[in-house]
Amino acid sequence: MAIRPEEITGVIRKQLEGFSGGMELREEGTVLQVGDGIARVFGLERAMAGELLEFPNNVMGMVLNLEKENVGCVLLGPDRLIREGDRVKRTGRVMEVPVGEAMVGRVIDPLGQPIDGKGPIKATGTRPIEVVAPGVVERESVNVPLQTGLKAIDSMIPIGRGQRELIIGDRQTGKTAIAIDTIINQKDAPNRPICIYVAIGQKQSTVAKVAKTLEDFGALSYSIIVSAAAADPAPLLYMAPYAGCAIGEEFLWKGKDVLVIYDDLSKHAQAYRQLSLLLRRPPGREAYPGDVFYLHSRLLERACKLNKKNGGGSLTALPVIETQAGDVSAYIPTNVISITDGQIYLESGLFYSGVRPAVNIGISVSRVGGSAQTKAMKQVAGRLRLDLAQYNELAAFAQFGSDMDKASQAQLARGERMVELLKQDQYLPLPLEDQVIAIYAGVNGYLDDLPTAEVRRFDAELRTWLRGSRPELVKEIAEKKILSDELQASLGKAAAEFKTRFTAGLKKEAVK
Amino acid sequence: MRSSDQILASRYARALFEAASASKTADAVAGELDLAGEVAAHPDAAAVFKTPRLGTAEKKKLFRDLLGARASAVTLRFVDLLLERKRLDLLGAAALSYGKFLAEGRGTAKAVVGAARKPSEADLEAIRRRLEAFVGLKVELEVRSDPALLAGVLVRLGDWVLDSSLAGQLERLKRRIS
Repeated sequence: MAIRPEEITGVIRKQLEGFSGGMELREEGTVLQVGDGIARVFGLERAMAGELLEFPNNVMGMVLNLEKENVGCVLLGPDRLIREGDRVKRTGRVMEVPVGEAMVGRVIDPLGQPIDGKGPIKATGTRPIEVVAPGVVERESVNVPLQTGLKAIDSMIPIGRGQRELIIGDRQTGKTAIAIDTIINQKDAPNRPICIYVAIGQKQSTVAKVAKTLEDFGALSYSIIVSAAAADPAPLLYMAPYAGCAIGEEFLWKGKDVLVIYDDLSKHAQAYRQLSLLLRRPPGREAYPGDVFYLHSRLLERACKLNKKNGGGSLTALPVIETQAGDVSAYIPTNVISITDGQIYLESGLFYSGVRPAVNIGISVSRVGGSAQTKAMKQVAGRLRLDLAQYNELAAFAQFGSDMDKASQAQLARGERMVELLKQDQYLPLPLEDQVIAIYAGVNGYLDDLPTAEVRRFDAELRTWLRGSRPELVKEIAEKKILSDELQASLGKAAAEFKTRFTAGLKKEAVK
Repeated sequence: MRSSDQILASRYARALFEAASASKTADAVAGELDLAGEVAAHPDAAAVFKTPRLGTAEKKKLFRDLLGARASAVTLRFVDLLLERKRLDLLGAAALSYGKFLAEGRGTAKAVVGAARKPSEADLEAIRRRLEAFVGLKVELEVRSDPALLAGVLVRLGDWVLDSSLAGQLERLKRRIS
């Protein structure tokens, strides 16, 4: 579309006519000292904590320290544009981020500006990034499941909408993979949640990959990516999770479900440590400032399930923490473990031995998700946890190679097959009914006499076969979400029938 | 300047203000302090006062010679003290803080009026009356000529800036259009 110069002139003239410069009353201070993304500003006696300041060259700052005669603030732009003696204007606003439906499907920075090259965002409003979490009277307990689509998690570490479940583990153990699978699995979920992925201190390439993956799986249309990359100034990293949460709260208070992933909060704590040390706040354990617990607790407290009176929305938080060499007793991991409602613990040992997702079932828990788990899953998963616990106990013992009685051998065999059954490929989340069928077959012994290597093939083929020849069973699980006695009987019969076919097939292959 | 220097300068200023008030010369000292500040900030003088080759005693003598009879004993002793502590660079900040303490003590506020052309007495009186109503204190005006404003005035009172200059209006218009 061509734009005629007359039109531009017209617009400018209109702006000029409507402009009455008049007088401006403002409050100003002067920069005393600037460097490392921090500025100290003399004056500004009436500045508020958290207020935005306007520096020259369109750089904004946020007040963090109020001191005698000066304020300490962090710069949200390049500090080399600021000089000593520059004038700084108060804005009277606290830090805000644009919100609304227009953000969905976009990749933005923590200030709400698009960074995906898809043009400007027409946001409908703004929300302050720091707000007090909803109180007791506005909440209710978690009662709707949030399916991750991963057998190991949905069966034994169920997550409810409005819960805060920590994903913790060393680098390269599949923490982000779990988060991305969860987003992809929401595609056909009832009351599909808006998914917000907050990338804090990650490589730009990683963020680009996540965006690409989500787009490929058609998940970007209900997702928002908030990215503060490793090269961004520390204040942006510090703000990113709060901004992501504020964007989510807009949907929460409209009665919708929201899933927010903070990937990862260790980097967030490090960014905050940098700011605090530069602002000369006293260092504490591991040089983190004294309020690093509050930093994360006030963020994660904003995850909630609202009651009907307040629209019944929910905001589920999946914070990610990276540990160093499996050390969960470091400062930040212990803090976040104690704030959240449970943790999914990933181990590099399991990961490299081929158990993927590398979830350590023994020490992973979900403190509130159980009440949100579907009946059908509860019916089959109770046995699963028991089988695995017994297997782990025996497996350590069995390494000595001692002879074992029949019962123990059976338990070992069962456990091995269960571990095999819970393995799942990336980007292949399963719907609830498939998970129930797979685990049902496992805990009821249909896998016990199969070779371990055939377990995954059996599982996959069983599910496809059931969908083809017994669709009514699959449909009943999906709709009623409970295994009645009759359903269990017919499911058992079907599984047995398929198994005879499968073993016959195996024998035929062996002959060949 | 570091923020700790600002605090330091204000401590020196507070001490000087108390000493000058005790000898009832607080008003006179303010003017002398500005003068001393000008002397210290003069490029030639600044180089001399910074050089480590000269001893403190020589620098003190030099400063006394420069100020001569134009400064009272309190001010001279204050400069001596700064020289002795090697903190002459705090003089400017101390003079600013001193002005603030003086105004506070009198219950007045000082406003700086920047103007492109010298405003008439009647205009200044009108500005003063409006400012006094705004801050609730007696206001002293200091007029400075500032051709960069193009037209109109820009008043600074503490942190407050009242901008009705043409330069400011153009700047705001520029921001609106861009």
